Amino acid sequence: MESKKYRDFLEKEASKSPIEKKPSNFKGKFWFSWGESSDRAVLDEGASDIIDSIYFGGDLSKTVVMDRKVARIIQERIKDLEEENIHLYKRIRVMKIIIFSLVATILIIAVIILS
Amino acid sequence: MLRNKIVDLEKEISARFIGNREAIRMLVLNQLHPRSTTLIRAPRGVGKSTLMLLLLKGITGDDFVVVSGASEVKRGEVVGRLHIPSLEKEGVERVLWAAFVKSKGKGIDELNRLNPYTTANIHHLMQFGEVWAYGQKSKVEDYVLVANENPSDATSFIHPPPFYDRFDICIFLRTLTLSEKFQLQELLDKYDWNLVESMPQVLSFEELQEIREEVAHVDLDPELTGYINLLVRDFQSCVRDKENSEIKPPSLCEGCHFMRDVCGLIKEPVSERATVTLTHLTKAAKWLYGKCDIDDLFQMALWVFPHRLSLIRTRNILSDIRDLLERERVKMEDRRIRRQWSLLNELIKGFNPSIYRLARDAAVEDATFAEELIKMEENWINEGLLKRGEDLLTQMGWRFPSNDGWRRK
Repeated sequence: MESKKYRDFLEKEASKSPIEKKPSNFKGKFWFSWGESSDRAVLDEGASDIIDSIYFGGDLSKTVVMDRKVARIIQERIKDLEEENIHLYKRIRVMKIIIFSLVATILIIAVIILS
Repeated sequence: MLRNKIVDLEKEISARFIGNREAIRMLVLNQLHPRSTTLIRAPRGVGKSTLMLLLLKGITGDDFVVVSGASEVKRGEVVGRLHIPSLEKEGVERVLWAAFVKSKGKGIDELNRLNPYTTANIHHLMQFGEVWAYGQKSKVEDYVLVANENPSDATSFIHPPPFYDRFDICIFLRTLTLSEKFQLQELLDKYDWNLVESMPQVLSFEELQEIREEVAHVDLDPELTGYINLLVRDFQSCVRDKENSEIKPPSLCEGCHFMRDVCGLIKEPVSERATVTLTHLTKAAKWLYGKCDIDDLFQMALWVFPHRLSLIRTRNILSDIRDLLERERVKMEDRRIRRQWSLLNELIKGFNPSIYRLARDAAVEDATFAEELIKMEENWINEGLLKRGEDLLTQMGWRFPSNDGWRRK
């Protein structure tokens, strides 16, 4: 059983950034789209929401303007991905060393057995 | 009328204590709920004891007792001692309860020097609102408790984290700037070098209790309550169940998807008391100022978290927590942009495969959100709407303590 205050919180947050539900041509199916957020930062005319383009594949306008919060999110994401990249690269290197040493061991054993 | 008294209390303290405005504001705000406890941390000579005495005098007049960790404090002085004549003449064990137990205002100077036995008694008092001595119990009425300590004092006892957790807030004082030093000298001249003696009793303890009663009845809107719970949960949640794990971050986080998240930087998470304290403070702020928004909440969290958690690396606890709170703000914004709460709100009304897919994508990036989704998945599996194995918990291999894992076997 969910708390009433929890449901009220979700309702309130949902009303600020709603998702719109429209019936589709298929019976019983719906289209979902992102509604207009009521408390979103107001951007200058011609500005593009880069987050929408990243997550939902929207087209970017000629000039991309983003607010500081969005820039910070992207900055954090890039930083995380770069760190993960370095981490994976290190792992690949270790794996390569292990594979090469295994191959070398197998070859040595094969040579010993054959001789 | 009562509001004005609280405003006056803050003014009177500020008139005698230079700088540290935000600390004073939080100190006063924290007194507006029953059995308030405040910890002041600062280096030596910054004014910890002065601030403690100013507050106690402003609220309780002379009805306060200060015990000092720096002197040899025995249990008899803090809790109670045996009345020897009664024992000798009547053979009855009668306990004389200490003034510290009976007084409305309780101060503890140099808390870190207090011996473990006395600390244990005070811990019990804060936990259960009672004290024990010689097999007898005494109920402790409502009070104001303020303690201070210098964390870099070498002659310290290491008190257990649950003891510090009983303090609602921990405020940090800073040294004075150049111009503030001039102000302090003028102030000392004005009050004849006795700031504490000059402090008037601004309100009676009965008035404070009346205020506490009113504050307790303040209603918080679901949005603010939601943000309090969300903030605390983000400082607790871990997909590898760090609360019950013997291995702690950063070792525990090795290879975890959320390694760079707020959770990955916290070794020991905050307790549920953080939620209670934030609720008390937001209610107090709403009562006193007529409003409390999310910015105020984040400002309060800075004083509620420092003594309740340990980080994997601590350079300066306040600026480290400020950084974490800044990241938390970004995370909350990220959630809003992704419409996470809208998705959850739709799913709570009923299962929908399209919305569920979007929610899953969001859950992979957000442990707190994932926790809620996983709980719903369990119901959908039981209802046959989702197959076991298709759920997030199985696919990601997470171990949430909130999930009833044993039922799945």
